Amino acid sequence: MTDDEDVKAVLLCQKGDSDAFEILVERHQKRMLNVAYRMLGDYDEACDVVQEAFLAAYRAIRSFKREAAFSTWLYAIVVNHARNRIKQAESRLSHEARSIDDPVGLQDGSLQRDLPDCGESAVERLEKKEVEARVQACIRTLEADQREVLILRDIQGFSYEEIGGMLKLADGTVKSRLFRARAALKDCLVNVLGDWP
Amino acid sequence: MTCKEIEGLLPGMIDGALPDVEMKRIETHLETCASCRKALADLRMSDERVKNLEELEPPPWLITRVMAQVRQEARQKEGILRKLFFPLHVKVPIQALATVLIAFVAWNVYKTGDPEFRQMAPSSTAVKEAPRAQAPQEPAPAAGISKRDEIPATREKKTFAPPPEPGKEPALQSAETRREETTADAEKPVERLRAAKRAAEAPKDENAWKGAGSARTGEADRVLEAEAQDQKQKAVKAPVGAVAKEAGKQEARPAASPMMSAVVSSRPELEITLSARDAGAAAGEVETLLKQFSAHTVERQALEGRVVVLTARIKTEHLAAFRERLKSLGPVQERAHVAPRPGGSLTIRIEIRPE
Repeated sequence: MTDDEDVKAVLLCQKGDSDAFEILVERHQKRMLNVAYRMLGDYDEACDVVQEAFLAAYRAIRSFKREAAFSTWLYAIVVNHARNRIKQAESRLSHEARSIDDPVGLQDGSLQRDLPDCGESAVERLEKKEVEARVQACIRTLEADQREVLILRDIQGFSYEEIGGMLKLADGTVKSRLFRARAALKDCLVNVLGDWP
Repeated sequence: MTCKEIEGLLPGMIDGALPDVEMKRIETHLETCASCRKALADLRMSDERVKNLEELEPPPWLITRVMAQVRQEARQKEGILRKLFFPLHVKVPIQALATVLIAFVAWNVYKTGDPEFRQMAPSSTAVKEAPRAQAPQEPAPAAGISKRDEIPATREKKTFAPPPEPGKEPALQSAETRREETTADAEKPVERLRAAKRAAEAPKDENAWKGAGSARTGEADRVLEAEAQDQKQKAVKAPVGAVAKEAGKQEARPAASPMMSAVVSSRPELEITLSARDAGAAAGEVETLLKQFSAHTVERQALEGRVVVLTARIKTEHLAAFRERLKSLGPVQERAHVAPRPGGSLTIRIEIRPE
């Protein structure tokens, strides 16, 4: 995925060629969906957010200046939309306070209790998807600002500079949030999964 | 450095985000601290779990839906543009602009050209002057007449506008309407001239018809009287203003063809007044005389008080003999406006009054 290809498509879109936007959707939809999903933890909601983000990007594409990479600009949009979605959900469920010490709940309700600290045998019983679901659940327990940074850096592999550009944060702020997110996630995963196999 | 401080920095060890100095200090600490080593191992395992998370594939309908929304958005934008520029996109505003521009220019031309239009239109002074020049009481200087004779026929016609239609008050006609008529007339001088010529033929035929009916039957007199009455009514009905004044003063104008009279008989070089007992009978005789002397464009007009006016073109060489024959019919008074040109012809106006 090169920026040049993005730039060509963006220029066409800015000239009114709406079909050129399909190139951008095709190129970025997967990564955007994963960002949204890791932030929201719900596949369908993530799809909705990605659609909204793409449409917002199309509407604003004429205002896009090539001061930054198009991908940085695009992922900032999806992060913002996901963040707004989380805020809406939180306002709806404000009575349900969550903390890192609360039991981690999965979408299908399969995990409603603390797993026993049973070491290797417990890990062996878990299917890969279940482990992933617990990792995802732990990610969701992170503070929103920490979660964003962790997803963008450790899952999506953006550089500190890119993340700073997307979130309008200084490098130091990005790092400090990231360090706290990693520590919190480690604690959650140790709590959920016990000792590593 | 305490374990708590080290634990705060350990996450930076994952991707080497810490400065080298910090890294070395942490590594030194880790050599002697099992719990911090365990914390770092947990961090690395956590990081591995996160990085190994399976990437989700977007649903196949995602791109379809996104593009459907994008295209709908584009159509809406296009729709707004089309509403503005339909049907030819950019051309319609240009056409609208052109229309506005043309309207503006036309209005400007109309406004700036208004004095010229007024100049072309019959001015009230011109209308006033015309009958005065024609009136026998106020003979105009010969030079003035000859100068006026040089004016093109179209201008002269404008000066002698036709009287208003019966039952229609000329005063009600707006100045705009009169101006439009005049402008239209000015644009069609040839048609106007032809119309005048056609009208000039009409009274001639009428006179011929009257002459054929043994000249002066009781019926013919009644017709003449009716015409005279009609003329009188028109003169009375004519309101104030240029047209009204003209209608009131131009008694000599033939009722059937006012335009023709403007062209043919408005400038008689010689005016003769003949007094006779029976003006109608004398007029018939004068008409016969005119025919004998090869006069042409003979017009006959009956006025109020059994006054008959004959207008004709006669050759200068026949003028002396015609005068002598005329004097045999009764006392004659003459008034010449222009000296007769030898070898040419001149317009004479013979007013036959009852004694």
